[in-house]
Amino acid sequence: MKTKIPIEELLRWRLARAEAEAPRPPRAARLLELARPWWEVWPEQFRSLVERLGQVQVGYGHAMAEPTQSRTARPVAALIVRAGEEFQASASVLYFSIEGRRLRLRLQIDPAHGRSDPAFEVTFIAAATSIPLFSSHATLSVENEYRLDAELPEEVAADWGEMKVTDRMPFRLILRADTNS
Amino acid sequence: MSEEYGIARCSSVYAPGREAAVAVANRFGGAATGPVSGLPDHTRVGAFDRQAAPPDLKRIFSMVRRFSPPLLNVGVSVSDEIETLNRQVAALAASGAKARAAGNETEAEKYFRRGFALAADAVKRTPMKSQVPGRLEVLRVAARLALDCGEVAEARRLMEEAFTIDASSRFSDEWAQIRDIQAWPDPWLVAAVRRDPPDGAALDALANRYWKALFGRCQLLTVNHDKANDLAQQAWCRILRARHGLKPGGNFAAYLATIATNLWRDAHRGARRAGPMAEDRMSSLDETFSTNEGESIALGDVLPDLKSLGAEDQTLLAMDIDNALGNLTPQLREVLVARFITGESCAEIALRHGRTEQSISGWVRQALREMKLHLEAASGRVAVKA
Repeated sequence: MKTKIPIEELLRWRLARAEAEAPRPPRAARLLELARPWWEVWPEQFRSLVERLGQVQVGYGHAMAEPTQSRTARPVAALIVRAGEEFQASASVLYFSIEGRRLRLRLQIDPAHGRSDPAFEVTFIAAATSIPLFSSHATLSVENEYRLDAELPEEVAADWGEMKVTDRMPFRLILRADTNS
Repeated sequence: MSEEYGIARCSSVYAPGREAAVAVANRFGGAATGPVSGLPDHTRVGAFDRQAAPPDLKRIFSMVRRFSPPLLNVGVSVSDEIETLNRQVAALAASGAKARAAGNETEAEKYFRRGFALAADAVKRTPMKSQVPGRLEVLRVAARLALDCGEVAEARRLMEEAFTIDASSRFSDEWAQIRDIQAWPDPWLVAAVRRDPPDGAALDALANRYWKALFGRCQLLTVNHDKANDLAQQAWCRILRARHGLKPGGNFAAYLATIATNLWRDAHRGARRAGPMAEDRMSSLDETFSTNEGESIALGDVLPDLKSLGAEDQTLLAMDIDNALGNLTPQLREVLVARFITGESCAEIALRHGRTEQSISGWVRQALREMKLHLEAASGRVAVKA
């Protein structure tokens, strides 16, 4: 006997089957290990990248002269890391807003560095101390422009609470491509 | 003298805690400190109104004050303090729950922490020789508040103390939820995971609770068992990295699903932009379909009743569905899952995608048509076998 089956029902049936076939959930220890920030997992690589980041020179005059950059945009030293490649770059902060502990940020990457990656894991490094502050994911919105929405650590939120987009940014950025895990 | 004691006892029966409660609350009140008058109205213990009190009570109180045997006063005072604290704790817990339900986690945590501090104070003040049920209740309230704050170790300590006082409470219904981590509501588990370091047992319980549903969704999106497993783990990693911002009162399952979908969408964003059909596809999908047919397009008489399928046919049908889903663009697949698995309306999906409701409705129809085509082409095999 054959009956008409709505696709919706087929999808639900497939979902139930997938749930039944799900592998065992990872243990908490495994999840926490996977979630460790990359600078703790690979401290040597982090040190090396921070060293290279420290060599990036950003000139305000240069940034202001760029026709694609807004007048208020503040350049920030950045290092783009793709598989096996590193590029020194500068990023312009186009929008910066903190509400409570929520940071909303829009930044533009210097277009001289090839393709626009669909997303970056952005690590904020304290400009003064080179300490990693936090990391978050930024996704491409338009050409070379990325949006980031992150919950800030309490102390960072307190320090940055009064900052405006026109202020000098107290951080530098390491932008890691293709790092969803 | 014995008569005086009798009167004093009467006073504690007739006016449990009232006058003494106000004095005590003003001495000990607040999130641990600060007068009761500083608390919101609903957390304040009903003040004793001398003028409004019945004449008999006024007379009794004046007699009690006149004789007031010191030892008895201490007993009454301690009992009243605890009662006052308990009432404040209950009010703070209710306020915390209200704030949490409203999504105001900062306020909620403040209330819960104040409540927990007071509850812990009440535990300390409850005399060891006091009645067991009363002490157990104080411990239970404190343990629940500890869990509301994510203080799992404190909750466990209080629970063990209760079990030491009365071993039978280990098996009582009152303690069942606190004892069994699998029975903890999401807010307790999430609050425990938010903390530094996160509680491993709570994380295990939370992962176990939602893993299958998360994996199922990831399977529909990725149409691949291994990729689904990876995506589900990535979603958990993303959540754990930002765990301090988790809202215990939020819908955790929905949040997990959203994170997984966003990760999957981000991974396909580049491909979609660069895809050879991308632009053409987007423009055609933006068109609204004018047909009046429902969103669920029934397959023709090509598939048997799902319940009657044998194991092998089920496997084949699952493969057919996966193939049909795999032939959709990632965006259409995502919209289909959002519409029929998550149950989002076209308007809600449209808001997320920055499109019109009509556009999304068109996408859903397009996805259903394509699914139907693929399934019809493949289902001969299933139909023949069935």
